[in-house]
Amino acid sequence: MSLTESKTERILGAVFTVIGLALYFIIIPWQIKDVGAEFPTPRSFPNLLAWLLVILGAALFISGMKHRNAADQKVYSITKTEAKLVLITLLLMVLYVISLYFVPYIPATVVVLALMIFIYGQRSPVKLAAASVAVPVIIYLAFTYILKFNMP
Amino acid sequence: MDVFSALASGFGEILQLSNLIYLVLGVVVGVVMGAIPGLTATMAITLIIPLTYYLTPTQSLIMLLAAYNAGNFGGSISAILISTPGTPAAAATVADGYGLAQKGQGGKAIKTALFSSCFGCLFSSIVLVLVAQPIAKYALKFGPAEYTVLMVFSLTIIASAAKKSMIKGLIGGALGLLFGCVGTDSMYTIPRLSFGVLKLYSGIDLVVMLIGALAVSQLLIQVEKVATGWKEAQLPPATCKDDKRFSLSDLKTCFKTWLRSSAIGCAIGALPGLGPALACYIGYDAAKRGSKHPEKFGTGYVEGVAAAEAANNAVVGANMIPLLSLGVPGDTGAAVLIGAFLVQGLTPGPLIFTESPQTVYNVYAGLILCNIVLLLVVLATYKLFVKLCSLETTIIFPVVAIFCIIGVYALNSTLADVWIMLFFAVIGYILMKFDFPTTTMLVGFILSPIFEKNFRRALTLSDGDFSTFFSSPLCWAFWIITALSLFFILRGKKKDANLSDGL
Repeated sequence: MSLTESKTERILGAVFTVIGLALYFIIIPWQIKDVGAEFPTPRSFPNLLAWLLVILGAALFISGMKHRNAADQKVYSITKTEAKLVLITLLLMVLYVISLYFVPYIPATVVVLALMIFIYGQRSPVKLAAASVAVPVIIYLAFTYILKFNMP
Repeated sequence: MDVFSALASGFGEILQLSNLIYLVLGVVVGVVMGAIPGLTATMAITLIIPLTYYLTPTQSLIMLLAAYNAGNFGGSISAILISTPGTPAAAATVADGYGLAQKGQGGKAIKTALFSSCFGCLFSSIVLVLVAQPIAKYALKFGPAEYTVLMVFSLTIIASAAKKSMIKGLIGGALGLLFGCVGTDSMYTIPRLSFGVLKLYSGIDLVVMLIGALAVSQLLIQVEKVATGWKEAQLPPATCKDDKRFSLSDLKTCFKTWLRSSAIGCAIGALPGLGPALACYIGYDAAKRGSKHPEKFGTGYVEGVAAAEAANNAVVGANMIPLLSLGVPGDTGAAVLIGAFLVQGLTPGPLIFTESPQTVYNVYAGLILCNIVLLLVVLATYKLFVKLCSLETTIIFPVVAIFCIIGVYALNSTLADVWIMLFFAVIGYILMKFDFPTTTMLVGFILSPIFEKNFRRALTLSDGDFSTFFSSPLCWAFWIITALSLFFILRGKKKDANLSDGL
């Protein structure tokens, strides 16, 4: 998948403009109570920033429109393989954090670390086993006995 | 007793084996904790304090200060070797430090950071010894209006750090300012943008955001390369001896920067509430603007590392100025140090100079000597860190990911922080992918609470009268500096645009 710089600017410019408007009209009134006081209130600074985002988002969009026919534009691209590995990494990190609610630190970490190292392409069983066991154990010993932290 | 003989007596006291051991221990603990992402210099001090109950005041204070100083340096090791700042103070070191490491000059980068940190702390220690009391009086003149205008000047860093696209940089800054609003309003104590999440009532922790937006997002960018088959050692080896050395020409390049950044770090450290994270960015920005080669900053340039590290460690000594003279901490690390003073039966403030003068000068001497110990410890052990980070990408990246998660968890022993970190990892990844500088988001985040709090306080005290921001000579001085700063930034951007158009 690839996007030219100007197209990216148009898309992200529109996104930030919408975020700014959503902040001002929906999110801030919902999330910050109106205390009825004079300026500056708890809403003042966030409102200012919301409008700043709207203006900057619009400026980015306009910049994208101005440069849409420019030659030698930068192209942002990511292949399916790259995107897959990034998403898998994120997913593994999320699953790891969820597992820590139910499973003690060492087994959860050994499994996730071994999976990640394998998925990244490590095929030496010795290196895989050594890293996925040694690192969690060392972290556990250091954090629990030296730093006196409770592990999850 | 005059200053020099008191200081000499302090050196004599510290160099006794019974005190020197604790100085060395403090340095070792500080470096290790600073180097691990998520564990900070402040955490290093917090962990050591219970150990100090059984020590003398001198042993206790020099160990804590050594840990604090070494911790601020330690963050640069992981910033350089794995593009993950160990502490917020090392955030500005990442771009040039990691850039140097990617060229096989990791050894040079670490030594540059080490010498710069030692210089910065030594500089501020000397300033502390000579001018603690007069500077404390100057710090007293800063009210909310002066802080607000200082923050307006600091916001120009966002424009300066914006690189090629000013709009993208400003968007990053605006996002950072917005994230800084999350939490409880300081005046009305109502939740803001917390979405009912209890954890967010206390705001977003800087370290959590830093690890997510800078470290984990960078990790995800690197993972794309692993997908294309990049499996060998993450960092290239040194190609020549000069890649591992801090040479005389590097010293010539960096010396002026050291002086400038150390002065900035001293000024920031002397003002309560600002801290080394802000100092590193202001020092870096000032060095870039004053450099003969500003285009090299961010690409792996020794001057960039020198600027950030000298500034952030200069804060350590300067933090002691308001602490000792007024009993007011310069940042969270200094706030924890107040606890250490109280445990030892000392009360920081003006009376400490009359009640316990020798302890004060022992502390000064310890602060100066800990830089020499830091130099020796790191020069002896930095190759171990470099070797660890030369492991294959298939091993080092997953290990770094786990370290980031556990480090962030260790901050407050809650997985909620880890979820917030992952959120910022996704934001940071998207921003980095499309050339939005994450630096501006971090600067905005650091400045947001300080700026808004002081702005509102100033207006409350002046009954809504905006002329309060123009009412003192200090305010005017900062307005003029801000205008000059903007002028030079815009002129620089125009020059860059002309160059790229081939004019």
